[in-house]
Amino acid sequence: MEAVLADRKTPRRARTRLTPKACALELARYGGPLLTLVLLWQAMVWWKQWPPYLLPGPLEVARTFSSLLVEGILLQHLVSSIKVLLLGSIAGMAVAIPLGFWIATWRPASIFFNPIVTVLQPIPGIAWIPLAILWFGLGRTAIGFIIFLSVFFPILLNTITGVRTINRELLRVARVMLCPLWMVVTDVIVPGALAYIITGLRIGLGYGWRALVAGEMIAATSGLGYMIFDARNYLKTDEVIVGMATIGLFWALVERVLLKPLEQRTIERWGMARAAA
Amino acid sequence: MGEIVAEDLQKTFVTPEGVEVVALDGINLKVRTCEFLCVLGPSGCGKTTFMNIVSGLERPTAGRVLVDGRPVEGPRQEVAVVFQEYNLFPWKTAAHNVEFGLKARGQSKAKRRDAALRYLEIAGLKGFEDRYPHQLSGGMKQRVGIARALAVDPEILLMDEPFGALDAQSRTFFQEELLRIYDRVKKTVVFITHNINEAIFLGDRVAVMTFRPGRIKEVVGVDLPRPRTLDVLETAEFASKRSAVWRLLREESRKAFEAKQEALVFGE
Ligand SMILES: Nc1ncnc2c1ncn2[C@@H]1O[C@H](COP(=O)(O)OP(=O)(O)OP(=O)(O)O)[C@@H](O)[C@H]1O
Ligand SMILES: [Mg+2]
Repeated sequence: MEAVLADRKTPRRARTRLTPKACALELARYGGPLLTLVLLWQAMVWWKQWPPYLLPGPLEVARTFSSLLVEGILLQHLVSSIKVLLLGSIAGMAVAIPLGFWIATWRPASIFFNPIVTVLQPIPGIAWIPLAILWFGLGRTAIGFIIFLSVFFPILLNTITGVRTINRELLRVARVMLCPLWMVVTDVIVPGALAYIITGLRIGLGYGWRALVAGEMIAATSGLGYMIFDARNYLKTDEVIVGMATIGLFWALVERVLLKPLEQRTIERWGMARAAA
Repeated sequence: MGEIVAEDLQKTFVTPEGVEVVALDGINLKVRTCEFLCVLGPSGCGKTTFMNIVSGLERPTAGRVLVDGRPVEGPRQEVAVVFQEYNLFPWKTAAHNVEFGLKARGQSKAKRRDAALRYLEIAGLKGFEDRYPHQLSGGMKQRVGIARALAVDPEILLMDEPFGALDAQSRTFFQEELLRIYDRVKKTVVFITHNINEAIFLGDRVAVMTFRPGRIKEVVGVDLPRPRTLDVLETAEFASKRSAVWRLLREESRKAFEAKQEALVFGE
């Protein structure tokens, strides 16, 4: 029997480590298709011969990109954006996750908050910009507030669903084992709801990032959104595209080095979600 | 230690539509210290309900259960449960699952780990400590469930059809395995099943339940010598016990079957 058991191979870890070789491979996987896109763009530029303020070529944009990078301007705006994103989303998580646990486990809270959430949830974060400016003035606080709201609802709703869908039988196991309440939370409820919480984070942070850029265009004096909008005012279209590309590339990086490993280390490892192909 | 006495246990469920279902109607049963008692009955006769009341997860409508003379008012230290459908924590490795009850009791990390390894070895899972449940077969999962229950060193082990989900071959293998473990740890075991062979092969006594309302119809003693191996199945004593129990159970199974037919016809 032992031999039979030992024969069952340990399923291969779905997790891909970030070794130099894996990084190179990943880069190639991303690089190929993206390069095709850039070539198409170059073809457009050659074919149509639009003036650079309408559509600058990739080379021109790359030049601007590197000069903005060298001057430190790009990094400065990116860091400013990241700071606000972190601030807003950490605050959002800190409120949404405990509130979600509370709503999911205590019926009166659910009865009270359900209508409120249903009505507030569909209002996009950006729709709050006018109020945010009135209340907090132009600047980081207003943007942080927008991010908070954008991140808040997806995380809240997913946390509620996550806690509600925890296998009841596992709670009974905890009960017969005389498990103290703190351990029910740390060892049963949090990991049991984690798959949904991570989904909530993914959606929430994505919303937050988009709302951030939009908010910065209107209500900020720094950040990537501000940079794009400011460049447009001077018809520096190459800078506009640099800003846009940075937004996309940065998020792809976050997804790859933060969100995906988080999933791989938790729910995929526990067999609670199929590893994405 | 580990004696269980059920006195006039009654349990009536009220469905959301307000229909009353009498699941248990006066269960009287005594389980002796270190006895292996099998509770045998057709599906839906109230076996799980009985076990939930003994474990303290549910309260009876009337009557009471005494463990070592003290009434059961809720889950308690000396009782551990092996569930019908494993109920392992998917986010814990085999070892961490086994450690769960010890962690709940506030044991130190090192002691917990030691105990977990020991009981996993007893359950025949040496080398599988760091596997997650989804990497284990059904039978292995149930062995982790058994190790988890044993690790808290209970006086009473309640097992609710632990092998119900296994195919016939692995089932007999696990029965033998369980007896080996039982001979090693000696606890009071209440083993619930609807399989006659299993009940007689494992038990010191077999309590046959009636179908709706659930009562104890008769308790049959099985005096086959221990340690038992599968060879017991071929002896004449086993065959005669089997037919005696079968006569008791036949009528109840028919009632259960008819109830199911009725439910199909009238749409339950
Ligand atoms: N929460 C409940 N509400 C209403 N009826 C219930 C409830 N739990 C159990 N019952 C009913 O009580 C009876 C006994 O159920 P129980 O689960 O104890 O049976 P069982 O003998 O364990 O069956 P099986 O062998 O299929 O596991 C059944 O008729 C069932 O429908
Ligand atoms: Mg049952």
